[in-house]
Amino acid sequence: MNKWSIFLILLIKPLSGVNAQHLTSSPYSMYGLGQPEITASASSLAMGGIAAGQSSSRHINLSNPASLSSMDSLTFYFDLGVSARNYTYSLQNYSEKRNEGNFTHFAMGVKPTQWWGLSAGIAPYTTVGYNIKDYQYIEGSTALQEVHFEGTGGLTKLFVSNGFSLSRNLSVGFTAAYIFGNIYHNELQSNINIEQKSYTRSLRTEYAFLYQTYWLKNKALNIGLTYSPVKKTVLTHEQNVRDQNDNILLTENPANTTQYLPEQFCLALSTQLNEKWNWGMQFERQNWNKNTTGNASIKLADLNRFSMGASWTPKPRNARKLMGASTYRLGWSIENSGYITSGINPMVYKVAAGIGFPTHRSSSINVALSYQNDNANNKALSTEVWQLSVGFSLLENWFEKPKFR
Amino acid sequence: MIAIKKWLSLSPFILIIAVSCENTDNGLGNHLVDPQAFSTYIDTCTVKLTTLKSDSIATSGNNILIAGAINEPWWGNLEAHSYLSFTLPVFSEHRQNENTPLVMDSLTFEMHYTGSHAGDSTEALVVSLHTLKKVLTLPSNGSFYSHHHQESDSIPLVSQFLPSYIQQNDSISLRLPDKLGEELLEKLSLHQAEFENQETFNQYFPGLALTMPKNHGNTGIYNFHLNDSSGTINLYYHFVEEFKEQQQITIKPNTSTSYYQIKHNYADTPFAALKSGYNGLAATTTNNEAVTAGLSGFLIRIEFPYLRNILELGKTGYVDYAELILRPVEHSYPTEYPLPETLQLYVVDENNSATNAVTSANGTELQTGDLQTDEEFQTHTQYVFDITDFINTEINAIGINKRALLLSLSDQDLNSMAQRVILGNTRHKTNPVQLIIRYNRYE
Repeated sequence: MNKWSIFLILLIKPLSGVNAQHLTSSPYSMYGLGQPEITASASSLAMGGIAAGQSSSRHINLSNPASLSSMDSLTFYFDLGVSARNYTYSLQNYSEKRNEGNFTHFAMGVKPTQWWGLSAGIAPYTTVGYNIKDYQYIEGSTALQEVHFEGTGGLTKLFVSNGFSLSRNLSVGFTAAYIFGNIYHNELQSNINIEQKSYTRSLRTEYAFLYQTYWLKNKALNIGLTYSPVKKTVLTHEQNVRDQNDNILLTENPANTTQYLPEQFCLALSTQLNEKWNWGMQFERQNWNKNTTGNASIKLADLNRFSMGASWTPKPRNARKLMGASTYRLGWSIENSGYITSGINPMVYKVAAGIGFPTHRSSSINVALSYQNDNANNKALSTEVWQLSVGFSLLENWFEKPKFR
Repeated sequence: MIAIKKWLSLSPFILIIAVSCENTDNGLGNHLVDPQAFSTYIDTCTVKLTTLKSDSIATSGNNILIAGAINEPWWGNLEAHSYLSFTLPVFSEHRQNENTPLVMDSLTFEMHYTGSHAGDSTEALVVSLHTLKKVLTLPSNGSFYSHHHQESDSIPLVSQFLPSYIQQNDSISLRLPDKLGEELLEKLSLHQAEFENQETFNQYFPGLALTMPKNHGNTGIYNFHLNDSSGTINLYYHFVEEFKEQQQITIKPNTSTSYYQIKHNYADTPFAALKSGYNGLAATTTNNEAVTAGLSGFLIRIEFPYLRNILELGKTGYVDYAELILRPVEHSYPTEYPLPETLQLYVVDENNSATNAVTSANGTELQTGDLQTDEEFQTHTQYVFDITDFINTEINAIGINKRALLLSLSDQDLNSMAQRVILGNTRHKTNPVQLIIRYNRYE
């Protein structure tokens, strides 16, 4: 398999796969635009999600476009990520498990000039995925009828990011993203199937800043900052009521609803203590509470997340020893849940660990395993998530010109 | 190291395959959902029943002989007579010497009981055979009908008591006059002109009328097989040459021209006002009862006049299940008048012309509303039909597209069985017809 075949597979597969399968399995994803997804590589997820303060020539930074100026100008970058999640929901001593998985991102990057880094890619922005079974009484009888609720789809982010090196220490960047996608909510009750398709499209921008300085005897210290302004988006709805033979009984166009792509702010610090050790921390805020749920007992909450993480490479210069040349990562984060139910907004705790295996040249495969739990404590639906993420960073020196033939 | 790297490079795809499993529904989260669809159980739909009467029923070619009479409050007077014609018999020469005399032993008419009857079977039966005066010639439309009458000699060829409690497939034999047997044997053996062909034979012997007249105290209607071995005339004879040799000539019935006539006088029944035609007699005018019966051509038209009112329950909806429960009126089916095991429903237009049959859910099998009996109280004896598809179509039909259902005995029973089902309409006090609907609606 040559590099072009790999390229085509990597390009086509995630494009066809985004949202084809659920990435989430949260009943809460039925509200608003769906459950927000973090666009981050597996190496970042293994460190608790910190990336906005990172700067590396070995992979595309999906969290801070300003860092793209650190890429190598002779290298073409591919980055592909997949995740599998195991959810455990519990409420009042009753629990259920679900498994979901899908591609999380695909990105390519180049550095056209010494001062300009460019990347483009696609990733889920929000995801909707739930399957709920309920029962309700058949009016006029004591019999119960099953009702199934199913949600799929979500919004996808197609993005182009640019990073510019303004000086040796200062880079700026911006991302232009096209947010689009369909969200499907189905209610199936016996022979009636109510299908609602909602869709939206919107342009969104993100601005970024990365400053590198030195401290503690010439230890590199990166300060990253990203900001996305709020963006209003309109969800258009189409609703069909079908019978068991798939005949349309009724078509409706419910009134459009206004939702908001939230204002996002992220401040991150990271430092390279030496060639083996790297650590960082990050604070992020997303204003989701302007969005509506249509359910008086559920509100969307602003998201505040604090993350910390570190990485260690035992023998960074010894590529012959896989375990020695691999990078070991550890991370931790705390955030408030994106939903307020019955007045409760639980805190969500996450720990993560991972390994980055070097492959040929500077490419790598990164694996991250994280565990997340909240403190809903039976007062609201409690969610426990195990997530296994695999990232595939392929670097090809396509632009290297041999001096001698 | 290289092998590990190869496996690692496949890991994204392995991961995706591994998690591509099917999840079942979650029970948790049901407090978050708000249904837009609801199901409603409705058992108070008005069902309109109308008794119809067809002009006549085809009675030839059914391979059945029917004879007898009943007189009963719901039936009124019902009489049945059968008319038989016979095929040309063939004489086979068995003698070595044609001058050896043939001796007629007996001439009998034989038939086999099907086991089907209506009325009191404990009474002794009287069966009579009369000679027809005219040849049975099929009408231009190819069939005899129940109203067709044939003239026959008023004096029977034979009239004979039959034992009560005859059993299914019992053979009944009636001895015909020896004189007729001797005449037949002579003409046959001498190949006389009467036996030259079917036409000359029919002119000579037009056939027989089988009756079980009510003035002899008959209180039942009986069915007998009609085929090459039942409904036959058997001529038994012998001759003596070296030894005594017995022979038999069987004169078989013509099953296409043989038929039965039904006389039904229901003037003293609740359905006295019923006339043939499209309109029929609404059950509201006949003690809230309607009847379908074999031999008589009585059928029941079933309509649901206010069905579309269900649509007002929501913006749209779908009938999840519709069950039609037909309850025979108690005491209308004593032992001597048992209910038919099956009934059939047809979808009909405003002219009562069948457009379709009510079939099973997969559309391949005719629904027969199999009888469920309540022997103790009779209030829950019922026939049940699943008419979901029909109701789903009908609920959206208006004007000339509206359809009704037509209830009858099975095709075979309708033309050959003296059976009936008397149903109560929605207003009937003890045995009301009921339409049960489970309606899914969207609000």
